[in-house]
Amino acid sequence: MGFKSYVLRRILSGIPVFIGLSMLIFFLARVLPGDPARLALGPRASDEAVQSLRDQMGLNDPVVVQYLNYMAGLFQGDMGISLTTNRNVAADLVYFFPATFELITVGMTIAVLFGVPLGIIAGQNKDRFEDNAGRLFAFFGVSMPAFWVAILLQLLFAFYMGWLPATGRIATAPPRITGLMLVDSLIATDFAAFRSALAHLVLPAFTLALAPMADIARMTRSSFIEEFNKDYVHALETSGIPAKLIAYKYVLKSSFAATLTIIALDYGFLIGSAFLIEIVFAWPGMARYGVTAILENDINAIVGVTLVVGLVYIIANMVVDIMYGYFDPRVRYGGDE
Amino acid sequence: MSDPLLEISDLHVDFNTYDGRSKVINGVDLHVDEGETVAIVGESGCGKSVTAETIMSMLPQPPGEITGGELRYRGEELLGDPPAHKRVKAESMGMIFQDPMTSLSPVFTVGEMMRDVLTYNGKTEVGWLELGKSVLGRRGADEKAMRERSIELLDRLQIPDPEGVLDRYPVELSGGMRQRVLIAMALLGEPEFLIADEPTTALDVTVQDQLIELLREQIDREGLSMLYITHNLGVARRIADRIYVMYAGEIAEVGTRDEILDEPLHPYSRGLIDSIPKLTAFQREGIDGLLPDYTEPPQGCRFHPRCPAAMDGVCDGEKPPLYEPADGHQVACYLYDDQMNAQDALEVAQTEIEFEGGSLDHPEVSSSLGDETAAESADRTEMNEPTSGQTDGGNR
Repeated sequence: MGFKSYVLRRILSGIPVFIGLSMLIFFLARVLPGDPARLALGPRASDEAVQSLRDQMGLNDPVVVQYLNYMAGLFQGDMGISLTTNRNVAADLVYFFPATFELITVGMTIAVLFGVPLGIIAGQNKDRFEDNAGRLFAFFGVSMPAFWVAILLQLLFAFYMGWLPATGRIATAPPRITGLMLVDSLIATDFAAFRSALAHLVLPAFTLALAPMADIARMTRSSFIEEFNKDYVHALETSGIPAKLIAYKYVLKSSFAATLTIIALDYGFLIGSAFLIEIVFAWPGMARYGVTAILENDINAIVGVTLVVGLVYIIANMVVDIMYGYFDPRVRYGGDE
Repeated sequence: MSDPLLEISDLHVDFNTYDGRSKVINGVDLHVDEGETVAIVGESGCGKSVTAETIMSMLPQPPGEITGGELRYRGEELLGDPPAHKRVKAESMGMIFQDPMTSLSPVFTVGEMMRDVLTYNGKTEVGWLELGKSVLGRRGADEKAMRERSIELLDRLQIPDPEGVLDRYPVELSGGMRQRVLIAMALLGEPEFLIADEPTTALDVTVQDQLIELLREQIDREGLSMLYITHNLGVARRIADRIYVMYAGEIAEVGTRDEILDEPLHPYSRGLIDSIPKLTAFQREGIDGLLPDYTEPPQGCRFHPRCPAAMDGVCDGEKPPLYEPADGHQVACYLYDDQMNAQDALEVAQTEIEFEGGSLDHPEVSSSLGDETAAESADRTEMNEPTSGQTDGGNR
């Protein structure tokens, strides 16, 4: 079985998962306590007004019908009206999602770029100074609350040093195409805007990256150490392949599966939980939108945001599954003999 | 005789364990001459592999610790000079490992590994740029030549469809094929000196036999020297010129293949050979007991608690020196001394050493080891002799 059919199978297997997920989210949102129409209109609104809003939102239909209507709408880009912004949730998401996506992608990239080498260095120097320093950093990274780190970084780099802006996404936005400031400014060949977007991104992305960076470093370290003690490492060594090549080519490739798992999990986790970071940095992102929706019992927005978070999870895991196949032929060939 | 290619003198290796300090290698002397194949024979845990690891500088330190001795390769002392050791190892030594299932990287194709061996052999350092290129799978201009060289070598090791094997992952190959690939990898770097650490134990008997034959051919063809580590006396008989019998981290006896197998002098060697089941002889008892505890090894000769000929007040005193009753045939046992000639020594061995269940009184019984009928009966046992290879391609 080739790599292509492996990839195809992985992608197809995502579809039933998404359908199941959409059902779960949709029905859970319906059983949340509190009447969304009543909440939207306020306690003084008349019962007639509430009833007519419920009709308008379709809340009086049987749940199954509601779900089918919702799914039909979803395929046409209609995710229902948000009760707080009074716009279609789809439009809101198109506005808010790219901000969070950009933040998290850059954050995870930083986490991987620093976390993996940190893990390797620690793994190669097991129980020596480098390893202990890495361990200390990892403990700090996971245990320090992100918002606190965020405030410290803001104080240091924005207020005392004045190097970086404290809040917001960009000084003057380029014409909106993808919603990703870095990409848009490049498309508009506006390098001042690109620099500004990058400067705004550095602090929140780095703050966001700390915890996954620590995770990745720990995971890379332990799987690296485990892999380094395997027989084939000695065999390659005695065949005359230099140690550096063994470490960064052979051992890294086979020990990377564990790290990949962590990356996918953290990526999916961050997309829903960047909330505090978005608040502290006044980042107009989806996590903030989602939390507001929950607090307001804005039912369509809740479903919309959760669905997007779930979709990102599914895609992240799919990508990782495919990468497992790339990194380890045993996965492609259906396990060891 | 010219200077030996590899020479170990008075090697001591300790291991720090929770139970205390284990003196795992206690004064081992060993040499391998140019073009010679030497076997180290001994039971599991006697320090054979530790000796090999010391030579290849892959002893895990800690817990291992080399506390004394010298390792010379072409006269160059290596133990005190790690960079030189690394260089000599990269340039001149190769090793074949025990377990073909785990000794190849599971995530690269055979061809990729062989290409890296060919590209980087003998280099101890590699730059970051070069490394990046290699990770991305960039091929150099001499890619084609390397491929041809790999194919030729795989072909020589009788791997069917060598071209196809290059593009396959180790998981797609059988154990016998993988072991051939491992041998090919060890030979690719054109070493002068090979260490084989029980390379056939993990394979079934027919495949074992083919592999030993193949290895023998390659060694003869390239004029390599080899140190072959095994617990299998039958294998040692087939491949070795000289044999070291090792017991509990010490050399018990050294001699040519025929001396050790047909006229063993040390009680341990006799017991070892005696314990091989034979079709032509009665069931023997072998040697009672177990290897000693290395943290508190027996005083004097480490074998004396298990030895049927142990002499009170002699064997438990000082460690026995190596006596040399015949030229090149050395034995660490107080039964012999330097004044003895080979004939007397053999007589002593035959009269003094008596294991329960009968003594080894007919040397010709043990020499029937090479004999096919005897061999076939021994297949299923630990100290076995592989059958001669009439079965073809057992594991493809």
